[in-house]
Amino acid sequence: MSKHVVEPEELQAYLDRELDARRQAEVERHLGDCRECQLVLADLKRVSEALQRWQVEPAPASLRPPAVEEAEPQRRFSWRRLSWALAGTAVVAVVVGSLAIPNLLKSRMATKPAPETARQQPAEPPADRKLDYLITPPPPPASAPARAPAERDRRGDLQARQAEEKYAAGKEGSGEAGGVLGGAPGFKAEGRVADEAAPLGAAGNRAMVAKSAVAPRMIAYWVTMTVEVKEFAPAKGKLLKAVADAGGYVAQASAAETPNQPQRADLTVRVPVEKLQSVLEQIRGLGRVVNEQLSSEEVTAQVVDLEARLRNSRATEERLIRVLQERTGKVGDILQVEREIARTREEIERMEAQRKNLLARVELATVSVTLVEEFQAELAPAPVGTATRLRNAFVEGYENFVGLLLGFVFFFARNGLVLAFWVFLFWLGWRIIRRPLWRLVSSRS
Amino acid sequence: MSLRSDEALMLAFKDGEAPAFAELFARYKNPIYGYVRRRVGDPGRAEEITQDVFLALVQHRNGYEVTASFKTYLYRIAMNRIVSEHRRKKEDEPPAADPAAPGGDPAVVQQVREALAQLEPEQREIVLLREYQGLSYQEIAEVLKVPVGTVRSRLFRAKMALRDFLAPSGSERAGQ
Repeated sequence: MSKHVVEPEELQAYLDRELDARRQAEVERHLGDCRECQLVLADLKRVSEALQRWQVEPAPASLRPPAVEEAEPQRRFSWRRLSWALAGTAVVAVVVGSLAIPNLLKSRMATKPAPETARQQPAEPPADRKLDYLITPPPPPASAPARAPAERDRRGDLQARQAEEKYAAGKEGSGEAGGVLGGAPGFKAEGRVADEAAPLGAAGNRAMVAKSAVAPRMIAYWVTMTVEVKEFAPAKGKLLKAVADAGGYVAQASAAETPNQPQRADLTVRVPVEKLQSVLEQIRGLGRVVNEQLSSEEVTAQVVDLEARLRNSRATEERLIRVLQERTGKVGDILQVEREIARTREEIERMEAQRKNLLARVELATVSVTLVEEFQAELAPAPVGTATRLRNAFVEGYENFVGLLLGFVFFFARNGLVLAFWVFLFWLGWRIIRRPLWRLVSSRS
Repeated sequence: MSLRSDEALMLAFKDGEAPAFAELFARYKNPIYGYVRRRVGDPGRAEEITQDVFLALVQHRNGYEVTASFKTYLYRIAMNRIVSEHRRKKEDEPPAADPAAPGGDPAVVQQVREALAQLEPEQREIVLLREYQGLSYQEIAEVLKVPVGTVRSRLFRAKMALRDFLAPSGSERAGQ
């Protein structure tokens, strides 16, 4: 028997002329010598001949090509299809709703204005002016026609105001009534109005409302800056000097110095608002400003409200003092009046403290500065030993491992129910669309 | 009949040339019917399925791209229709009886059918496409989505298995 140089399955391919010409010739040569392969080839031919004995009739004449117009897919109404469509729509609605509603609620909450305060954070201030334009006090909110009656009301109430001023000066002796509203120039002239004691009753309230309308805006500013400096200590000194020169002070300071790490200092300083611009300029000049942000809060409404309550309390106190001076009641009544006077005085002092605090916030702007030294890496003076580093690495690795495990636990504790809900939803959706999808794919192919 | 290739005719039909489809139908109605007819016993049902195959061709003409030969595209549609039919009827084997089959001795035809029924479904499909439809190994590979080498080896094994039923002679005798 000759050696087989062809695979058996190549004989079928040879019979079907599926080999390339060179291989076809090789197999043919081999077949001339190999009796065994000749017999296999003969068997394959006989099988093919046997198979050909099963013939089927040609396509019947009734088989016609489908008309193109009739072959267009027509979608007939089907309750089953409708139910699937509704189920799919419901799933999509649930998914979209669960995604969109929380975001919608968040956005509504975010756009709702705060009742008392308004923060201003410019998106893109002009590069040349930076934050200057925000520091200029904005115009009063009242329009000209609305202001005119208020002015008339104020003039008509002049006598009462003078009497009350006298009362306030004599009573309190503090000398700070009015004049400090708005530390910035321009606030003082109108600021007195807000500090006047108004007569009680409806007329007094109307006058107070009218006066509130002409009260200037009182705005507390605070600035956050990060400045990268080359020489840390001189820059810090310059900063402190600039604050002192402006009449401000350091409210808080902290510094950190780590070997082979840049020095860093966090300072919170208070500077008069009229000097804020110049102080900011000096701070910017210390080095490269990494970030700078100015925020503000309008406290006008709080101050006006506080002053109205203050006026009422003072008037109450005055009436009680008159009652005490008349001394027509019993001893118990007199003691009761004295307790009331003490309580009212306590309220007055508390409100005055609040008012002073608010006015101080307006008068002094808050500047939080982070000074960071430009980092210049140096060789560590004493490298840590290998054993210590290895131990530290193990400790760090263990902590990371525990942290990872805890992270997983917390993640699933926090999100497990939501994840389960989503898995269930996707599983349900897959169950619903699986069969239609399969039908669609099989029909397209 | 024009000399245009199948693919050119299908693209022309896709572009709205209705006679192109008529020519494709004329070329393939008998091969497809014969293929379906050997897989489905009922001649009437075979005719319906053949009609469905060409109907699907018309309905999905806009999705046709010349990524493979038209012939393999058409046979793949036919094969999927037959598989759906078998799945619908909960049967995977061709019916044993086919009294309407002409063209030969019914006993011989029955013997061939029974021999084919002994094969694995994958082998039987290849035998049908090669021996009766005359598809090349490459075309069979495209229809069944298997490598050409797989087609060649399966076909050889199927023919060897059929030899025991249909032609027990030759090498078998020589081996004895």
